[in-house]
Amino acid sequence: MAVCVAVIAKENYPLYIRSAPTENELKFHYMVHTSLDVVDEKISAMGKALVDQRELYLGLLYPTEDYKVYGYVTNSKVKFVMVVDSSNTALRDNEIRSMFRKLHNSYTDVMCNPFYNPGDRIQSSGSDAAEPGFPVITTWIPTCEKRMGGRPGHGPCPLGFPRMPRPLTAW
Amino acid sequence: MDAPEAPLPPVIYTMENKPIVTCAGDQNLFTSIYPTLSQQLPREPMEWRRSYGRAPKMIHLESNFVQFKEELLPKDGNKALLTFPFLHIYWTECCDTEVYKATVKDDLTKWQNVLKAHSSVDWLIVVVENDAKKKNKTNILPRTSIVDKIRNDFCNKQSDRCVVLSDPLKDSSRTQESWNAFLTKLRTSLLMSFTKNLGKFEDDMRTLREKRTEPGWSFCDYFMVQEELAFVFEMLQQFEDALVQYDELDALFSQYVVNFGAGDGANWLTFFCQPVKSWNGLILRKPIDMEKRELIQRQEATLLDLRSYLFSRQCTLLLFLQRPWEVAQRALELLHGCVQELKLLEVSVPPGALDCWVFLSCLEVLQRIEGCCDRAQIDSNIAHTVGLWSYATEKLKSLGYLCGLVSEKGPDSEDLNRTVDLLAGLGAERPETANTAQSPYKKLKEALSSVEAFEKHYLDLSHAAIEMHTSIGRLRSAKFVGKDLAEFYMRKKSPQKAEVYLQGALKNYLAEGWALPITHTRKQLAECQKHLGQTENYLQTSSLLASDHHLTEDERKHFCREILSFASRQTDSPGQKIVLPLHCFAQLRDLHFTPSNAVVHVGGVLSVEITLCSQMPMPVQVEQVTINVHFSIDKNNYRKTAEWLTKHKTSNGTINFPTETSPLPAPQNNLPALELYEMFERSPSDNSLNTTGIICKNVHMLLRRQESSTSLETSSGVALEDGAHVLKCSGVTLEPGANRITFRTQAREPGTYTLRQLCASVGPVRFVLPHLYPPVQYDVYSQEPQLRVEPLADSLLAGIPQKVKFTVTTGHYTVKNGDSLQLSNAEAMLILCHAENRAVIYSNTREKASDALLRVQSSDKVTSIGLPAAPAYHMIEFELEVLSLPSAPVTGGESSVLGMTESHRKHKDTQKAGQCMATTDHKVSIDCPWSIYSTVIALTFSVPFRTTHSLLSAGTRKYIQVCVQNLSELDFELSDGHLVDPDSNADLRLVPLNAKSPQHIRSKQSVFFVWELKWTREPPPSLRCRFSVGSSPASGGRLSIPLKPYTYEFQVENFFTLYNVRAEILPPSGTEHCRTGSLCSLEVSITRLSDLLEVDKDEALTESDEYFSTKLMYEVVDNSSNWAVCGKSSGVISMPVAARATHRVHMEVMPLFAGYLPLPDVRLFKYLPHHSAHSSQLDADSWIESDGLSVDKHVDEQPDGGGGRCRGSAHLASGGEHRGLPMPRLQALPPGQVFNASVGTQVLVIPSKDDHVLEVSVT
Repeated sequence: MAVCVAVIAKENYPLYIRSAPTENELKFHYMVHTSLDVVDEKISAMGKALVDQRELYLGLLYPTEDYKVYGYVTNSKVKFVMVVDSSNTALRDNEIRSMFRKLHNSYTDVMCNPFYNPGDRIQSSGSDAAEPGFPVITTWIPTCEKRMGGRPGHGPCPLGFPRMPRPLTAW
Repeated sequence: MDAPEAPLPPVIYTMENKPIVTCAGDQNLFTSIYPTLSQQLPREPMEWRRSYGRAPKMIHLESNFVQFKEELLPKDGNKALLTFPFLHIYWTECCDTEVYKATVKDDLTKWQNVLKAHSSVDWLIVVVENDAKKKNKTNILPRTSIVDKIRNDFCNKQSDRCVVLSDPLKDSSRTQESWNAFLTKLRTSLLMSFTKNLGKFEDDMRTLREKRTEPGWSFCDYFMVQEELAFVFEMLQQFEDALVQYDELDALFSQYVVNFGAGDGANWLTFFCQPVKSWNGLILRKPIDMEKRELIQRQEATLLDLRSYLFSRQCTLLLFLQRPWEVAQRALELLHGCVQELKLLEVSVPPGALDCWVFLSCLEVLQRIEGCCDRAQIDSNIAHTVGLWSYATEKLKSLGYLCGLVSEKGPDSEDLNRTVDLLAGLGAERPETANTAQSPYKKLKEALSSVEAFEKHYLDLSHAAIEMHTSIGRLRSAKFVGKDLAEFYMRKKSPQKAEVYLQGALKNYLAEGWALPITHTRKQLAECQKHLGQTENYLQTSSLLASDHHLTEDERKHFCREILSFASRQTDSPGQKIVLPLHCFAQLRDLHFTPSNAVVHVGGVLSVEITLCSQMPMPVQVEQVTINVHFSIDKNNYRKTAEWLTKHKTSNGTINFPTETSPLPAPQNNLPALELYEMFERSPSDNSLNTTGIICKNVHMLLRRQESSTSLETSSGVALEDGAHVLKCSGVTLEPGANRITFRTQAREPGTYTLRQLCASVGPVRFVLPHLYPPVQYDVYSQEPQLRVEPLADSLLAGIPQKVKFTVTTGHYTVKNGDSLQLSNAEAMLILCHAENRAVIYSNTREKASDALLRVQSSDKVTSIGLPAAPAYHMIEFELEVLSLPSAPVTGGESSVLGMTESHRKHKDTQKAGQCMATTDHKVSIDCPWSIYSTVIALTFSVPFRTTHSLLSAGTRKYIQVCVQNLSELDFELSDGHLVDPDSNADLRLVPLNAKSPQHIRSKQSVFFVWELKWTREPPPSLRCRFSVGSSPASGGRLSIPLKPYTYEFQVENFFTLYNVRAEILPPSGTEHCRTGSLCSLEVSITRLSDLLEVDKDEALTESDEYFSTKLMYEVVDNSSNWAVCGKSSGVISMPVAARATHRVHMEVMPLFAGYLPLPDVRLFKYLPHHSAHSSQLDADSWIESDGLSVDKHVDEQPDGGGGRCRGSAHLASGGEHRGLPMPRLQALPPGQVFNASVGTQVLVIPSKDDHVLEVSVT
């Protein structure tokens, strides 16, 4: 289970960022933002070598005491960053990869939505799921509205956290 | 090396370990050979094939040769590998059978038995041969026999267990050979022994591992066993394999911890859960930390001990493998892992203890790596070590906070107690580092000792981390560390140092659009700026924060109040203004002009309504909202005309402004590519090269200051414009969200006004929107009054009332009561006055203002239209009916004939051009009250009818036909058709033969009228007629005034029949009918019907003896080629001018076809003798021959035959074209003068009986 999922535009601004314990939202924002350093590094190190192999998964970006930050970059240089609780030892590389693939599929769906302007912030369906063990992303319904209202911890967040129709234990 | 004789030294676990080989037998012999052997053995590598599919390896073998002792042999169950003798060698140089039998054999047997007792099968017997010895003893058996004996006695089927080494100390090729063979054998045996024993060991080890679920299994025991294997690999220099052993142990332990966390606890693991009492960090400077190893062996190690020991071993091996960067990476993983594991195992750890441990470990790892790499290597691998640096920084920071070293006041007693506890856990410094000045231990101790020392160390570390992050391009990480540093400075109450870091971080977040970090950093920055007393910056940051939706309502209100309280504080003293950008305070959404087209006349009132979306969380009292306006006299006057106003209407007069972009960053600055050009400068005198260089053509693009770098957060240099033209609105309260503010202004000078700046004033604070984009402007215009008159329909029709629209654009003129338009009447155009003519007054935005009754007074010359009073810049519209009278009758003889001819032609032309109506223009001159000049307006009316007439004859009876054609789109009703002779000739009577009126005439249709002309006396040569008919629109309803009838005047001439022409075709005599191909006779008789008349008096008339005769030419023409005229077809006759005079002509014609054939035409011409006055004359024959066709053509042009049309002049004109000798002239007789009695007659021609076909072609 990821504690924070972020989709970051090619220009490095967040298209979508969502963390599970909302009280620590800021920390995750900082963490994801800082991790972009390593993403950039990995992308440039990857260079041409991996382009052909179509390896989009960047692996562990950096570990911290409590969290592990994983990265993934699409061919259009949209970055996915996922923060995972370090204590969650059940998550191996394969699980992370498959989570990223799901994320990528969701993102592709969003891009296919004719009402979505590429580059706009993405919003996801569902209301704020305060329940622990939150699921990550099933479907996203982006709207063209810019993020205007909503403050952390006050009322429904415009980024509305997705609620899963059924619990997924794998995550 | 250990001497073979030396007693077995205790096992020392160092790198110096080598596999043990025991030596038995002749010790002296071995001692002599040992130096060579120990030197030669590792010289060449040997391939070691591995079990379990592991890749074979080339290995350089070394050995520790020790004297054979039975104690060396491992007893059952002893798993020690390091002390395990892998090979046993027995040395002998015996060459005497006796000696062999006496001593050596026994010795060997004993040795063998010992080995067998310990089931050791790795042995070798070396027989050294020495030539020198052989020579001394002559009675010896051949050497082979000793070897054979030994082989026979001991090497049962394993003869290769006995090796011969010949003359080992000599330098000969034989010696070399024998050495090589021996060494190969030795190495092979050693490797075989390794494979076998290590394989066995590994199997045992695995078996042990499989028992791990059994109770009583001890990880520590197992650890020792597997480490033994690692040691052996290390001894064999197989560091990779050794590392694998440790990694396996590592993984196994980690898995246990994970399982423990999952509730599957192993008993032995509880031991590792004892509280952490010592946190002295990793020790990496010794290859093996014996202290910790013993703790593990004694099963007393804590988790940190075990992890530390394991990592120190891994570190050692990795460094052997030249992989220092992996050490750094693994260290970070280990440190994170340990923290997690302690949490997972719920080990009690004193606060700060782990921070100490991590800090010490980080520095230890870094120092260890630095110790084995040079500067350049380290610099190029910062990416690997920077994580440790920042981790250490982080930990030191939290230690500082924990121990009260960061606060302003310094640590209190509780903090000090905690510090003492922490330092106690470090224990004493280890001897390895005691002499190092910068040891991690010393650093930590110092850092925790005082506030100042802590600051120094923390700053050192932070700066180092920032520098390293920056140097490898990890700017975000650098900023993040910088932010921690800023926090530290803020705690230390040095905001001036904090500011730069906060600004740097904020800029970074802004550039990449990370909303939450922006908000957070801004909040910190606000505090910092407040401490620094940067009023303007603080207010700006506050306004940004007050409008930030990521903050709570209370926080936003707090920042909003900060601004307001500042504003209220400063009102007393008229200090300087503080200019802040508007966008964070309020956003301009849209702007609406009234009137909506944003054009207003001089003196008019313009209102501008703006929607200002307040970003503040609470209502804000704004003293004044102003819009600065720039005025320019616009040259483009068209924009300001009323015409423009009415034509160009903006959709709704609202201009929307794009909402300020939420923190989406602009796309990365794409600097333009360098545009470089070569430059050569030559001397003008001899063209030699003076200078050359490269010019960058787009310097202005490249060296431009990056605006985004400064304008993001610092006071963005908003300049407050002071202009003469300002729109103001005072005392506005901006509620959160949308507010509508209305500005009113009275337009003064004409020109264009551009809205420049929007400014909201709160006390001394000015929130300014420096530029309004898209540009917004309004225009003020001044306009002259104008009158326009235009028909309502596409075209005006003459003869019936038509509506004309008058539009008075008042412009700057105010129409007073009593102002009127004076229309000078045109003669043929009436202005019809109705009682209820109404004028409508519109404002200049086409909104109806009022309407009023129109007063129209007509006199003979002038029609006066009284205008209703209307203010300036309005429009008065009204409609008037006008009637164009049919044109007055044209009088005059010849001129009328010509005029008719012309009009006739004109009609003909227009008919060809598509039924156009004739038009008449009427000019009206209008005097307007605002001008001394008259306005002349031309109105064009179209005549809806076209009228033609024709004269019809029946013998001597005459008829006049008038055709009225309706060209307009309207249907008309015709009534009272009259044809009168205006001369009122009493001898003439016109008898109408028409249907009852009224008659409908539909659009594009014609109506015919016919009159019979009767006369009693000799008729005049010409007759003038006037046709008149009343017309009214068929659907017009009741008309207010009687309409004047439509008239048409024309003249008929020569309408009296003079000659009767009768033609007859007779079949050949004797036949009943004409036949094709046979000649028939054509009889033409021309009969004069009257005596001499006025019309006969012309040149052809000759007089002799009271008898008058005239010359006529006849001509027989068959246009349809039915007949072939044989012989002369024309001739000139002299016709007596007397009634009943008849002239007969006989001609032969031949029918060419069968059937009822029309007769050939017989034409009569007046034959005028040539006259010198006429320039052109025609000879009859030549004229006929040469111009026959032209005559025909001329006839064709008038297919509808004769009538009263005056063709004479036309014919004359065409005749005049002929040039040449003077000739007699032909003049066609007017059609009314000749009556062809046989027109339309047909003759039956029957086909000839002859079979042959006569082909005659007549053109």
